[in-house]
Amino acid sequence: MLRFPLLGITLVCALLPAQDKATAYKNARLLPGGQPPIENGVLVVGGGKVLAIGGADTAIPAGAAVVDCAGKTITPGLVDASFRASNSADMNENGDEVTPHLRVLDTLDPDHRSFARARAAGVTAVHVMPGSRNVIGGLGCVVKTFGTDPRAMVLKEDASLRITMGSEPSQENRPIRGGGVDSIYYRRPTTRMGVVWEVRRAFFDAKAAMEQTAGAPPAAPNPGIEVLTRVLKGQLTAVTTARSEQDLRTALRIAAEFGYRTILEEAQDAHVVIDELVAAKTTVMLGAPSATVVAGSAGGDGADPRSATVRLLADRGIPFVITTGSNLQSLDLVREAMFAVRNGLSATRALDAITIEPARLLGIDQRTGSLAVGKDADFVVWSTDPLDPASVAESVHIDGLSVLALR
Amino acid sequence: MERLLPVRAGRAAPFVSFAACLCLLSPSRAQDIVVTAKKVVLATDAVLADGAFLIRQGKVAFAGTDIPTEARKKATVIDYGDAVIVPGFVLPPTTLGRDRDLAEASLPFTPDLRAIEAFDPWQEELAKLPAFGVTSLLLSPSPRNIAGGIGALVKPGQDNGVVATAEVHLALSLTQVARNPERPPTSLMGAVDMLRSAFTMAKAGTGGGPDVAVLRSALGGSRRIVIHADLHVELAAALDLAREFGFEPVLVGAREAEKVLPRIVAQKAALVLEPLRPEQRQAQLRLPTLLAEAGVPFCFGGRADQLRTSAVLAVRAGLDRKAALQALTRTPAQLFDQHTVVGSLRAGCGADFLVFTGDPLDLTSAHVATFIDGVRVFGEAGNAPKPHNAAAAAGAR
Amino acid sequence: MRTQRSLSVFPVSGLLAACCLALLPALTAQDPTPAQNPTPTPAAQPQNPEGATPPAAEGRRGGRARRAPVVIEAGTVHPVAGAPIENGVVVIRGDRIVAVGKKGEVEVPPNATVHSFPNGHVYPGLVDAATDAFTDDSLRNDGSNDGGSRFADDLRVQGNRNDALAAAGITTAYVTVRSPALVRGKGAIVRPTRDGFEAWSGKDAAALHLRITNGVGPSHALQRQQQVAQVDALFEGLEDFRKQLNDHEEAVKKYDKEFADYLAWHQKKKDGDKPAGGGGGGAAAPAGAGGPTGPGPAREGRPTRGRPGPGGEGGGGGGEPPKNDPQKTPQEQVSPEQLEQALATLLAALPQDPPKPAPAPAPGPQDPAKQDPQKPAEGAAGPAAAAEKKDEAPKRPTYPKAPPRDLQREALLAVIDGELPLRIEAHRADEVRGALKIGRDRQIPVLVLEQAFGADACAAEIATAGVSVVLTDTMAGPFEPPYEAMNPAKVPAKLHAAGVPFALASGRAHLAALLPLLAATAVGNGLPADAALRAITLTPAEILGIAQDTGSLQTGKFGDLVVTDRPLFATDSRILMVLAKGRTEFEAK
Repeated sequence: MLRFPLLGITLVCALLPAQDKATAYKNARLLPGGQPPIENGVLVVGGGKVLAIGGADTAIPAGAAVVDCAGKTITPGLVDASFRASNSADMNENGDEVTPHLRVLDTLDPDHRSFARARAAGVTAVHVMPGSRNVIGGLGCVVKTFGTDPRAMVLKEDASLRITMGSEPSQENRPIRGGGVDSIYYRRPTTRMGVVWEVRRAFFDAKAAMEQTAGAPPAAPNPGIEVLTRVLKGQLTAVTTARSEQDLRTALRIAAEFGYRTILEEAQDAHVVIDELVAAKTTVMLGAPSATVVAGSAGGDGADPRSATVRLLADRGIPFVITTGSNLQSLDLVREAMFAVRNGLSATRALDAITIEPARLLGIDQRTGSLAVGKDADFVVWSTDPLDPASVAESVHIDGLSVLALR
Repeated sequence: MERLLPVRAGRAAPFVSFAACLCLLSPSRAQDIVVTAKKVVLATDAVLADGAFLIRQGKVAFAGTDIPTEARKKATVIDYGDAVIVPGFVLPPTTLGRDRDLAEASLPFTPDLRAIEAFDPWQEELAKLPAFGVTSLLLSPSPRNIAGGIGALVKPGQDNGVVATAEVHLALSLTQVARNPERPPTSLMGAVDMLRSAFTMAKAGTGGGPDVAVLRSALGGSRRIVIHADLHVELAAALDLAREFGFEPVLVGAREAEKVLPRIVAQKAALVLEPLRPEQRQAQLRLPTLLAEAGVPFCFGGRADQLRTSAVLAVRAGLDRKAALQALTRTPAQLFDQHTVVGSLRAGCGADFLVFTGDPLDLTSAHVATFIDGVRVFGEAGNAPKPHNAAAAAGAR
Repeated sequence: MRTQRSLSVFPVSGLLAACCLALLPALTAQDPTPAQNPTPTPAAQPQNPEGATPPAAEGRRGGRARRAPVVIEAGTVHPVAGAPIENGVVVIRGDRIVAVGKKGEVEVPPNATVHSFPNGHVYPGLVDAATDAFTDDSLRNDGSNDGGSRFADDLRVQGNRNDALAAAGITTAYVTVRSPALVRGKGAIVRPTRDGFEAWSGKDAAALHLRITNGVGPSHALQRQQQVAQVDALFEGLEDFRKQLNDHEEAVKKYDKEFADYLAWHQKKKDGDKPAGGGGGGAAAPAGAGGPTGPGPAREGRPTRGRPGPGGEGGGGGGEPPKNDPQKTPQEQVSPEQLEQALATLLAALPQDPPKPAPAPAPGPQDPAKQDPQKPAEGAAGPAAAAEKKDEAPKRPTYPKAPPRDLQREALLAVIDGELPLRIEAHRADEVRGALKIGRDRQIPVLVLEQAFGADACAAEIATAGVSVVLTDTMAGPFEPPYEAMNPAKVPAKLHAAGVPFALASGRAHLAALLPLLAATAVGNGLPADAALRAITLTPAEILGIAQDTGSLQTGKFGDLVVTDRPLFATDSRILMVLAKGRTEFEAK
């Protein structure tokens, strides 16, 4: 196994010169994302960027390698806005319940099989967040799904702050009874109420720090408070994981109370709180709409998932993206989109919800999420329409590099 | 020499004074000794044929032709005939089986603790080391703590261990054992953050307690920063920290070093590898060769009894013999800035050496004797050169 | 003569050769595959059923003339049997060595392929006296094996680096496992090749393995005593078992004779009644269906004992019942089905002619005395004699009931008879003594001890007992130190000093490439280098009973050799070339 990374590196090195040379993919059906489809289109990439995109009459630069993609469909590389990577033990810092300043980037293992699986499914960028064991888990980041050095894969560092509602943060904590307290699990909130209290206290402290800063300089710099302050100032997106109706309402309520905007993640029971979502103008990262069981290690958070939730959201004009989330039952991202189509979502909406929409939401749409001149050459060649159940990602390109054969 | 004095006068005084008594009692220390052998490897780049060196007060005073004739005449001569003499092996960070005393369980972050306080000069494990060719070792706080503390250079003496340098390196750890599920940090994320916060504070100015002060002085270059890290993510995190705070780390363990090799080279990190085992895959056995080709300094850590075989296996997998011997002697000494004290037989270094019937990297060579500070602590006496199988070994070739 | 014939056969296509094989059993002694592939590649596969040819026959076969002789010239040749030869030459013709000597003094065939290594060292192919290569975890951890298990039945190329024995210079390996079973089964000798291994003909059950140790963990002395007693108890009741087998064998012989008489009587009767040839037609039917379909290749077991089945001893077991009846041709007794068919024909013809049709099939069931299954032969013998006088039909004899098969006891009998060596793994001195005692008490002709690290204390006893030892795990350092009191690295030197023949073995497939280093470690711990070299070549060959074919560079042995660039025991010596039976199994790039 040790051999393979080197092999990978060697391959990358070997392919780099080839990458500089332009490659044209012609005769393909192009679904550029956020744009109408182009039949018999031409996509020209070179130097890791998209050089040209258009109809059959698009000029192909001299010397470019030409790949005939007749009958195939090309989409932008998919963007998974909530992605499980690496082992959860290293993504959950149990030392404290509120750890806003921890960065998941520090523990990202590019060799983890979850990345290989994502690549094989046509996903080229993912939003990774710390685990859901903490009330405030820490800073998420957006990375591409291929690379050897996590830092080199980063599209956006500090992309989000994860807040978790529900039973997961309190799940393993125990109340103190008698003596023999030798474990850190003896002091956390053990209830939903306690979880909410932790969030509220954290933001209260941050707010107090903000107000105090206005006057005198603070005694000691607190990285956690700093992060929360950025959320309160609207400089950092909060992503609140909430599944059941009560948690969704709580998430919206606290956000309103402290005046920050939050994205709702997972949102299993979104169909119950549709009106509140409309009122709050909140974006939803819908986790694994196909799943038939509730996600989360605690289980039992919320009612049964409704397959039609996704259509309800669309009908009411609630902005949403489709993710694989933390549900262990989740299918590949493109299959989740297919599922949404089967439940009444339009194909265009579904595809946008796994490409350009999440890219915009995460603030990486300048670089990826759609096929446009100047953007990164992250794209997927599908054997047929990607929303067809029989579709296969035949080749996946990240920065122009075909990554399926690597590692 | 200058380095040693303040230490010996300092906190390690009880041991030192005892050792000093031994020095006075032992006849071999009172008098100059000249050791001769067919081949004397003073350092990997200084090899004497039919060589000799003079030991005075437990240290190498002169070597080869530098030995004054007068002194040579007066000295006791120990002749090892056809044997090969090499510097004693230096064992990089180890807890010597004393994890209980070297891992402060109540706190994860204890950079200001000193391993030397837990050093037991009468420890049994010390007595076993000379048989494996180890003449000095870096006693280090356990990798169970995120910041374990400050390590020391100690030697197994004739009867009891002695301290050579009381404060050497700062030991940090990002390995799995440091992420204890019963106390923070429980995750790599938290561990990295703990170190990052501390380094940030250390770099910021004068604030913080004694723990931060230790980090600050280490960042200032007073001592090497050693980070235990095995996996790709841990190594990447360690290298991140090194890059952010501008130091050249020594990475201990480094099982997946191959994956971050370009960064290791770029950041001038050094490696202390786990001992090689014969059942390992060829790719793992080739790692030392790769490192040598990339110019990364490395040595073998872990267990004393596996030092020599690790080097042998590395040579079998393609490592240059010189580089392998260097990894056992000079490199660890240099990585921890102890090369003026141990790791070679240059003038001024401790007279720690091993006698083999042939090249120590051939298993056919028998280990004849081990000397520490000029005193034989293992094996057969000289003057009766007993390469018992030298003739036979010659026959086999 | 044989060469002539094979030369005329082999140019024909493989299909034709296969037909020839089917038609002429005599040809099975010749292996057609190598000749079809004069270039040394996939000639020998483990699946090759012809691997069972005796080595002596291989030397004479035509392949030798087809492959160009191979000549290895090297700076130093270490024949093991004899002093090293500077500027030596080894000449291999076919798969055997035909000459070893100094360059210039040995005649080099003109058409030979010459490999020259001016600074190289040539050694005999290494013999690993214990390895678990080609086995998988299920076999290694199987505690339910017993003496009947043969590892040979479960060997295959595992497809990992551990299978690269040939590249490590090992041309012969004895495959065994250290399973937790008390009686582990029978190990097999294999010849590792470039892409797998081939079985060593006739050595697929080369020794029986027992264990008198709980391994490396601490154990109580009493527990160890009990273990010795447990192993000793395996040999209880073996003589009774042998008697059962012999009785059965006798009974079968008797049955064969009576059945022949029975058939002959009816044949005679039929011939007498129908002289025109109706009987001939009946007799011809089974023969016409013909071909040697009946007796397959000899089954596992010793040819001297009875077999529970009408198939008898098969092709190899000459001098058995069929020879007792000179009238029979081999075709007449080939298959039970055919016999039944012939019998049916005869019986159908019977009732027409004798005046009293009923007695012929009837008497058996009617006479209760003759139904006794315990004494079918005696019951049949008396009336048969009487019937002869009156020319009555002899009763059809009943096949004697076989005693239940017990492969473990059969294996242990073979051990007692000296047909199968016994290997006992014993570590501590008391375990070793226990093994030696069992060897003495049970008069085991060929005993081999494994591990025997306690030899410190009892090397002399081992020497007196004339027992040899196979040592693994002797490389101190990289192994866990299991034995505080015993230093495995020093044991080889001690055994050598006591005059005990011993082999150094890897024990584990992943250590195969370190076999020379194991020997080197022993040298570093006081073993003379020539003895160390012998311990990985000739001595293991002797222990495995194949020293006439390999283990040293001597005329007449297989062309198994290893070429290294430096002395074998040097840490950085590299293997340049490995020949096995004269074929190149490895060549450094």
